Amino acid sequence: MPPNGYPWPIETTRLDNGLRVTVSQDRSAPVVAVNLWYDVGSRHEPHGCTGFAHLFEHLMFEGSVHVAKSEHMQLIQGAGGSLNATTNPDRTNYFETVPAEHLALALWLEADRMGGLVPALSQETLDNQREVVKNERRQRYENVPYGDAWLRLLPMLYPPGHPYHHATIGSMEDLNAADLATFKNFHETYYAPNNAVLTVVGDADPAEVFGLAEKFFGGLAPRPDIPAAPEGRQVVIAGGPARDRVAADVPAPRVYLAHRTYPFGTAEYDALTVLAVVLGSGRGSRLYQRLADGARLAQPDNIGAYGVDLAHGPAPLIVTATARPGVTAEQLEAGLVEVVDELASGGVTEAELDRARALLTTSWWRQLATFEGRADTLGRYAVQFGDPARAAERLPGWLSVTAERASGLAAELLRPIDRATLTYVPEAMA
Amino acid sequence: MTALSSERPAAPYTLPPLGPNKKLKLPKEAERRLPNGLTVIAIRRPAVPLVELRLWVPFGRAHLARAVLLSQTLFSGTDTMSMVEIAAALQSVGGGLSAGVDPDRLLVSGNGLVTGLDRILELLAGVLTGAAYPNDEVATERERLADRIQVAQSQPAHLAREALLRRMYGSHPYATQTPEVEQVRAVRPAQLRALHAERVRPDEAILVLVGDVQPGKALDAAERALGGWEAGGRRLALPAAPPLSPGPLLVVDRPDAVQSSLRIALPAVGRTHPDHAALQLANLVFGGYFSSRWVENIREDKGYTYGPHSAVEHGVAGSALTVAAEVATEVTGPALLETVYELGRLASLPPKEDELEQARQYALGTLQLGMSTQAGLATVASTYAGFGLRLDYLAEHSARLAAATRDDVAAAAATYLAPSRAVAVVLGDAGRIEAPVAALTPVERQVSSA
Repeated sequence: MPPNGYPWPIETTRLDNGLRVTVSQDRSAPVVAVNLWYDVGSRHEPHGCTGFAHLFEHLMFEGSVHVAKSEHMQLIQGAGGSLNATTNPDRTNYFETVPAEHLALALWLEADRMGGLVPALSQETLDNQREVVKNERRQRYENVPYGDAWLRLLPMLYPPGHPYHHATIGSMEDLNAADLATFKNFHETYYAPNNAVLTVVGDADPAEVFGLAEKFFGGLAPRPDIPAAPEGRQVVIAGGPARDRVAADVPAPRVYLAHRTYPFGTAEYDALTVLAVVLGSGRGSRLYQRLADGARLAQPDNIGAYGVDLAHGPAPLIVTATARPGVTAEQLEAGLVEVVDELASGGVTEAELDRARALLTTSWWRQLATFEGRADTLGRYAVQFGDPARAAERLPGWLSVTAERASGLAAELLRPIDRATLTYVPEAMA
Repeated sequence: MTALSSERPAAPYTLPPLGPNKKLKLPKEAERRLPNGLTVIAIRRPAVPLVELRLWVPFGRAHLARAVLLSQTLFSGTDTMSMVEIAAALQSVGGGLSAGVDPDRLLVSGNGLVTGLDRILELLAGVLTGAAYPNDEVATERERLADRIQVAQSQPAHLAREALLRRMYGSHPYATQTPEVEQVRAVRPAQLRALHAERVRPDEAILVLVGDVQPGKALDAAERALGGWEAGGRRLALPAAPPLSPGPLLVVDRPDAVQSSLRIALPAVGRTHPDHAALQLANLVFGGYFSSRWVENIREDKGYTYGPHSAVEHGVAGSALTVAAEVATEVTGPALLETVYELGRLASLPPKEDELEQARQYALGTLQLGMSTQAGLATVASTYAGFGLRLDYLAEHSARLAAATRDDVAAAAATYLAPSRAVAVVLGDAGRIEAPVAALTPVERQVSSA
């Protein structure tokens, strides 16, 4: 009997304006997590507007009709809470965790910026947050060795016009060109109640949450014609394997191998998730045993394999390793390719599967150990699969992957012809 | 107040009233001191079927390179199991254990499925009593550590932190927290075995277990597994950290950097000092959370930086307040100006009542939130225990946070946040930042090899 991956109660409702509301009660700590998933991400950005969804996320903290600039943060933090938001290719999420007695405040603030952001948007806040985002880009991607790997891998995996072709952080050029009218239009288009899911987890009564949701969000008008992102499930690839070699200020050669797989949420992606653990999680993994412990080509840190959980197109699998001193990029790549090719041709063993299952079980429960983790998970399943209760399927989905299926998938996906290879070499070695 | 948008009415106008603060809920700790000296603390928190483990072993004044390498090779094999066998055995119960050191302690931390608790403790005991430091594994880990230090030496945040620590602590052991690559390469396996025999001992160690456990049974399980860990060795106490000695701002060159790393240290006091609650609040008002003056100023108002942060850091030998921001190269001078201004403003004028109230609520709320998960609770319980405190101390601390007045916070700010007492470092493109910084404060330059 496979375990139930979500053993807490779930209650849902839908307001007349289309806002879906999920409540999962747990009174074990006097805290509530509030989470809003908006079904908009960088995949919706047209050419020339890269980085807009994320810059917009910043603007959501800069005030709305009844909330002054910076007041959102002040009110939540002043209530003893924590908060943040993130943007990825698929979606934008906003979340706060507050002592349970401050639930109404958190909901009111989210409603005010869902319904009343546009009148508060000014050129000044846009200019200010544009600079903050440009500093974020420098701090995370430019000023760090290998920091731009993700930015380089995406266009190698997805052709121009594909919703995953560009990275969420966007280009400096597009960020500089962003104008106020575009952002007002962005909010009008996507930040509608029928394009969002509100989730509350923790020490809260479902009836009370539904009442507050109706009170604060019920008057917001739905938008009937929200434009879809470009279709991403089919990827038309011209030519064979993609390669990029970068000479940069990095301490050692590093290689990334990337493959397109299946969308997050499919049975195939569950098998891929298991494969990635077998290949690259921890010291029991193949990559570690073969390249760090065995052939000693790779630094034992910075070696691994993981899928990036994207749901609207074939999600990427990334395999990476960094060379030990004296090892060239070519030697390292050959070693990585050998391990990946072996997985494709020879499949996985039962012992490897057992280890992967135990690790995935722990990681699943760790994700759900926090109220905010649970709220975000329920929001994801409500937005991407239409029902928060489907969160319970993921753990049994992973645990039911057989050696035969994982091996078959490896053979299908990990072909050299479908591979993108990105190599960094220190400038001195280039 | 802006008018409502006609087509998209916003939420009802009135801000909902805040409920009264709920009382801090402290979980019960079950505690037992084993005959070998090991203190075991178990806390039930059944949220998910996992257990969190933290083992604190005092490690002050241990040889730095050896201590760091020991932490990286502790799990690299015993007389009966290889490194990969240990890792695979832990992973088969969904578990993982790792070790790290700082100048105060060796900390083993990890978690796993609660059904695997006995197995995890058994594997931990095997390592504590029988870590073999096999020559080949030590050689691998030594190179790994050397590589990692080399990588860190290319990271601006790491270099800035190192420069600040040297400036803060002079010849105290806290001054250097990352060994040099050559020092790491010089470590021999026999030295690790000797250090283990001398310092990895239960006498003053504290094990914390938090999760879906019955506390009494968890204590029994720990006693069964670790009762045979032999006492002995010796304990070395750290000397008290020296007071900060202010001087010129140190400019560390990193040619062509697109950002500058600004770091400032200020004096602070330990958790049980009567000023601690007021200092914590003063730090919050200044820059300790998003809704603070400094973040509002240099991020929200001016856009100079993405994630500025200030924090009170506690070590067993002393505490300090540290301030950190990565700022765009061209605004390094202005960012320093605003930072010194905000420190000076709080050191000279009392905070407003609403600012203090907000900081107070934040401090009380984060206490609550920090303990709301198994992992958070385990870390808090272990950290406090390492400083000789138990979770019930938090009741006392939250009462002090609740009672601190504007005068208390102003007095703490005048004492601890005064810019004249600061020690400062900026790492960046010296050719572009030195003159603007020197316009504000005396500087001296250090040339970095990175």
